[in-house]
Amino acid sequence: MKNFKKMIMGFAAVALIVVGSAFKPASNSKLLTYRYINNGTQYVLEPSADPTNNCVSNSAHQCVITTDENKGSSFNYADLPSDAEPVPGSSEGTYNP
Amino acid sequence: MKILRISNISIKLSPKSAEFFQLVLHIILASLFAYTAYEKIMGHERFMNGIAKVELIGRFAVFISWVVPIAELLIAVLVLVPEIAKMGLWCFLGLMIIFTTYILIALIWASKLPCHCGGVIETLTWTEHLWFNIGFILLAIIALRLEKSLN
Repeated sequence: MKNFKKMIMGFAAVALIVVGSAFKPASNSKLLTYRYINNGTQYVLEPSADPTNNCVSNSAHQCVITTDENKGSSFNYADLPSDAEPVPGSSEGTYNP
Repeated sequence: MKILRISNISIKLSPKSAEFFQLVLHIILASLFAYTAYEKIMGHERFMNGIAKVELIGRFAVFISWVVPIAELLIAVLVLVPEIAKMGLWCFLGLMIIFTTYILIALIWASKLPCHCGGVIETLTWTEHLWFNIGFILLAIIALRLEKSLN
């Protein structure tokens, strides 16, 4: 009974702390990163894209890039963010897993 | 009177104070993991994108992005259930050592590693984050010693 009371108190306290913190969103993250793949016509968000053995050399644009800017689910080649850089192992081409 | 020994330091506590101190420690440790797990799940896409950028583990981003917050939540629950708190504390210590190793790697080799560690913790610099983690590792060790002395 004593242990049960302790457990309930513990859960209640943790729930209060987590719920309380939910109203204070964090800012200034150390690094925001997004990974996009070249599908032949545009860049498409693909968080787990691995350029190793998945890039076909048939495009003048990088196969897999990363950027700290959130460009949504896809964007055109012309809208490439200034900080975009190829993922290590990526080459010019389209992503074809 | 309960005696809590940490290295050469001994603190004498009455059984009631020791139990209260233990409960507070467990709440602090569980809160950290519950809070960071909550933040990771709420911002899951961002968390997954962050992991995807890391060269060695990037290909497992989807898997890691779910396993880490679920493990944190489970450990938070373990720490709060008195009968299995000891196992939870060991798991907490193990996971914190893994996180701290990641920070050390970031500090030594690759400061551009992402840290989607959850909430306000992300605003810390890598050095502050290292000290923060060391503090929680020490708290977990104290909680384990207290667990031993109370049972």
